[in-house]
Amino acid sequence: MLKLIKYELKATARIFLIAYAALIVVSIFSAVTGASSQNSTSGMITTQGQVISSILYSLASIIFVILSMGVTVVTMIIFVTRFYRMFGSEGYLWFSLPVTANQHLICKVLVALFWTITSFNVLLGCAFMQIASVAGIGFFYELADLWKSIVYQGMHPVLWIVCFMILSLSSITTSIMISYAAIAIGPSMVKSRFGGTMLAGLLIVICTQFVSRIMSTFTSNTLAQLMDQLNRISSNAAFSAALDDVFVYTTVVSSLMSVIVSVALYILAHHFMSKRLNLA
Amino acid sequence: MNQVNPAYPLLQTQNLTKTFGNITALYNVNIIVPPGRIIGLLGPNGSGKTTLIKLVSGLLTPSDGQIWINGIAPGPKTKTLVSYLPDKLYFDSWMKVRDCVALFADFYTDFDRSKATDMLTALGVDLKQSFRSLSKGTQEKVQLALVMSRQALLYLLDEPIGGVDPASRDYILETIIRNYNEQGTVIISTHLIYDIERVLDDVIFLMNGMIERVSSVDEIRYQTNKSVDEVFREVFRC
Repeated sequence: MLKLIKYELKATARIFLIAYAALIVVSIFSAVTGASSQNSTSGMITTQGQVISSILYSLASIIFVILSMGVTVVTMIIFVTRFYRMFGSEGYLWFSLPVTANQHLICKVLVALFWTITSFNVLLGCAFMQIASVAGIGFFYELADLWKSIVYQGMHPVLWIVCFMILSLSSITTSIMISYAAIAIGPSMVKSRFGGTMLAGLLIVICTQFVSRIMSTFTSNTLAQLMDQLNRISSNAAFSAALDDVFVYTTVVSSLMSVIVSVALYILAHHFMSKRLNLA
Repeated sequence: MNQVNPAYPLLQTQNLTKTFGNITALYNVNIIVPPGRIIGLLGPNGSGKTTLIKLVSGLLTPSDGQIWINGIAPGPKTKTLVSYLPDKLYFDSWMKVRDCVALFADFYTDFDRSKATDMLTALGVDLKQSFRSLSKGTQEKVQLALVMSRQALLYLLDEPIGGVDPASRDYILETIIRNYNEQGTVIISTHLIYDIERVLDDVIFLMNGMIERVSSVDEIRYQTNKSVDEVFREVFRC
């Protein structure tokens, strides 16, 4: 399993590391030009140097936005194409190794999650660098003050962040499993592997939408009650407690649904990889 | 080290059938393969040779029937016993030749790294070279060298001499003969009988997905007074 992960990371690292390096270089360049263009005492552009800095900053910002979108798209494309190629000529290597379908699947999911989380963190870090260069270090003091005031009002921002992380992780896992299940089932559906994958993907999305509809009918009443409770509260302490309840409830329900869908898709993909494998 | 289980044939198929939609690629194939043989899986294009090899390798799932390798159904365990060379280039574009060698060494306990390195050096292949930068013929030879560097019980070689020049054919056959584990069996699929006949012990003729004949090469020569190539041409005459 670790060996599989090692090869999967090696295969994908080159592309991601180059993309991250490009993103970081552009961010640093943008931060430097951003800081120097803001450097006039009156806040207005006064010298030729500042005009150039301003143009370079705008250019670097545009490149940064394009690169950020590029990294997001590349992250998705790579984990999908890596798995898709496993069912083509590369599958002759991977499926003839003494490795179980479980090990293949877990390895691919873990590596996809690893790169998704890393890409998110790199993007976040670069975005912070951009903001800090323009708004100055004061931005972080303002952020800290905002945090303190939220905590002072009895709210729990750490809990919100944890909820956000759980929700993100579970929904990313579901997206990965939707793609992987579609790719694993695709070749068995129609003669064209690509067509089969698309068709399987469409059917899986329809099914997951159906399941989420059913689940939401069971949970909508409780959520409505919690929201109602929230609207009728007047004291700060009670409000923050009720808000926490809404966050936790939404996270638990959504994550549970994601886990159920992901596990079902995992079982489906595993079945097709171990019992109904048909490499073209 | 992989050991032949004397209680079972090395490879056995029972009523093995494979269909793709309305097309029957293999029908009711029953074969028993003992250890220590070099077997030619012979038949014209579309006769089911590749399908049979892929089924035994576990890359296809039978529509009907059974397969046992050393008494075990195809799965991760049999993949430790089988060394499979497909008729495709399967290494990823990022890999250097040394990565290909390392991958085999990582996953196959019966892989002899020094043997592989020697064979690649003899081929003039630099281990630091990117696999995809090699010519197609050399890529095929690298894959063959890796597959033959395993001490497997069953070697499944799908068209190893298809599409290569006569000099390369000799090199490939030499590589197979010199390097296979003699406790095991080699199955070579091809329709180029003339080139391969001299190395074969037995032949399996496949016609339209069915077994036409299973025989030893000596038996064919003794009974017909003809070479396997001549018999093949008679049997599969259009």
